[in-house]
Amino acid sequence: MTLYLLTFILFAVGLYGVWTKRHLIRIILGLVIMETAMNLFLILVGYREDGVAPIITENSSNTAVMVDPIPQALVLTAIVIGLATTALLLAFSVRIYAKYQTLDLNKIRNLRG
Amino acid sequence: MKHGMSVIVQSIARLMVPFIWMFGIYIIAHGHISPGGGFAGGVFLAGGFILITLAFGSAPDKEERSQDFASKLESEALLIFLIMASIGLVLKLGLMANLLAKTHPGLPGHIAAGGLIPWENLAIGVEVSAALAVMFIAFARHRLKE
Amino acid sequence: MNPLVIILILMILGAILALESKDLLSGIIAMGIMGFGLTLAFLFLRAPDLALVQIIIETMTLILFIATVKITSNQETSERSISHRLLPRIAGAVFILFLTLSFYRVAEELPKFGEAVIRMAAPILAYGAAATGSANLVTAVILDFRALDTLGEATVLFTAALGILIVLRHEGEKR
Repeated sequence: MTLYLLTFILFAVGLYGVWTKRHLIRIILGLVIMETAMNLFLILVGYREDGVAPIITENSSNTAVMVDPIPQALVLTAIVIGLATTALLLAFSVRIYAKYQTLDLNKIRNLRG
Repeated sequence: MKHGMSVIVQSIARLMVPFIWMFGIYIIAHGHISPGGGFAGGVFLAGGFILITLAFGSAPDKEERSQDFASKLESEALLIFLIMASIGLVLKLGLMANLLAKTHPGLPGHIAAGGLIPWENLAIGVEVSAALAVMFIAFARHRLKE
Repeated sequence: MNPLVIILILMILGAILALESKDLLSGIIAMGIMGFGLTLAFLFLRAPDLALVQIIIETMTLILFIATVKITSNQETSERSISHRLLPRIAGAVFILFLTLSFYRVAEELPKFGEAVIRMAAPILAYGAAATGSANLVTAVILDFRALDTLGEATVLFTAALGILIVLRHEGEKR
């Protein structure tokens, strides 16, 4: 329960960053923080006490308790996709800087129209 | 980025990069036995490439050639993965059916096991490493043009 | 005390530092605290595959962020302005309240930490290795039982690389 609560706090910190910051790179940092919290939460839910990693070796007995492999498989793809989408967001911010010479959302809003 | 970094960084990179790539290939090849697989190994290969580009720098025309190569490699790997996925569909076994696992099952824990899984791992590894390399070169080229 | 609690507190401190530091570059580097903390947490939670991927993805994220800051500029925003009107603030407070309440509701339903009930993965754990020949069950899930998922992931990666090439192109641009 403590761990779930701490993960929720980490998610809330990221949400706070996305909400209150007005610099595009800080907003992307907030998104990365939220993504980290979600990945950690999925793995926490699948953990079993005294479990072993879901890999069968020659000298492991059949009765060994294993952690849940499905959340691990889903998070593995989510991590790589996270890097790809972060890079796409950074590319967009590079283009916005080339057009407006600033990454401050307030100024960009004032420049429009 | 045109001139690369200092001699110390270049020497260390020259020493380290073969081992990084060997480790990446090892992780891809043993993905069905030990922790790792196509995603982890592909990211390692791309990391070695980024280390080379950062340490030695490169000229714009060379960047363009390596970008073309990486983006072709990426498309081909995705195509091979799609073909492997649709073989099962043609043979009426279902999409992504693991063909060889039925006929040549192999012993779990040995490298010659898992049916199509090692080959799919290889395709995923090439796809991930080429995609990350394309992203990095795009950023590096943009900086060269500024 | 569970070492995971200490790691998570460090990660939260790193995240706050990343958002609140004066300098943008030091904020980006403070994000590394969070990423490498996540790597350690994955190792404690018996997920070596994920730790292997996360430790290098974190480094590459750092490189991409620093490249972006070098291309653009290191200057901070002039003023921190949450909207000064009353309505957005009330809406924000209500949303936070709603989120916290729903978290408590969900946390009651969830199994306690360390006592996960494995329903879907039970046949995979029992017969997965024999059916696919893969000793690493995470790989078996990725490339056999849920391979369609991986195909979608590869497509997303391809599309993202395509998008970056289009967004950052220079050819055919008016000078």
